[in-house]
Amino acid sequence: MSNHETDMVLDVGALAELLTQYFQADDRSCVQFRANTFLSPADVRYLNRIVAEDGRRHVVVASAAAFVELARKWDGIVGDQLQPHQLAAFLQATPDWFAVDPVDESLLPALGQVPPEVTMSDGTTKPVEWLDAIHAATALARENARLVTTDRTLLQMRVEHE
Amino acid sequence: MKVVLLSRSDVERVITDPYGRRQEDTLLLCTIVEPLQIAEQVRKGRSRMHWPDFLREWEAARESLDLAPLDADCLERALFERADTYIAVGLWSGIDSHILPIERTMHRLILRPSEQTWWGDEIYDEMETWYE
Repeated sequence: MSNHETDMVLDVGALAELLTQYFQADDRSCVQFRANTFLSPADVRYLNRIVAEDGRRHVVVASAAAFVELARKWDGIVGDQLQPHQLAAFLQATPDWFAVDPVDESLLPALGQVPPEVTMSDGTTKPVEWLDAIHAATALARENARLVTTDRTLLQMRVEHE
Repeated sequence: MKVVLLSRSDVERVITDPYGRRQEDTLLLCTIVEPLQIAEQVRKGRSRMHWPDFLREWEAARESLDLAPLDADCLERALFERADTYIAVGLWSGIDSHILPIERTMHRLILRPSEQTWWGDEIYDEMETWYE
């Protein structure tokens, strides 16, 4: 599936990076995101296009579960680069190009499409755990979406589905 | 109206018998965590149900439940300690631990009582007893 025709669903690492860069920007109305560990150059090019179009065609998405993960691992993921009041402000006034997808019953049909385990490139099998399955289902529940993740199991699952 | 919080085994019973007898003056409150956990068992082949059966039975059971999701409103309401209605001064201590299983954090966030929830402390306290 092309990077250029989809919504982008972020896992917790990508979400944390997006929020950090967003709140470090001088002008949040026209943020230019940069590539790093969690956002590849291709991801960032498409992300910046979504932002420039103000979400009119596609949006950046994170599951409410990703926000919970972020809050639980706050010190390890964002440390002092992001403040809780900034996260609260983001949730209160989410930009038009961003959507917080609920963890609700709309996920259930998509959850059934997530395999219980995936075969890794080295031939071993890894289970797709509950929370990862929720992230995958969040992407699958959208008509046209791509999961941005650095998790090896989810990446392998994405490869198997593409 | 009496509110009853459903545990996972309660929800499994409702799924098995969606048209079973109910007290008319009782609301059955269920968080999204319970059907997701049941779905997880089905997805991993650890349930007597197969996926299409689960979805069909869930749909039938759904009509008798008040389902509480984890959504943006819930995050905004429960994720923070606030100095007043508007000013977040930190993350809520109820979630500030990676020692708790994430489903307990989700339960806490969904059920944390506030002016916006139609249930009170007793529902939250009952959920906490599940983990004792």
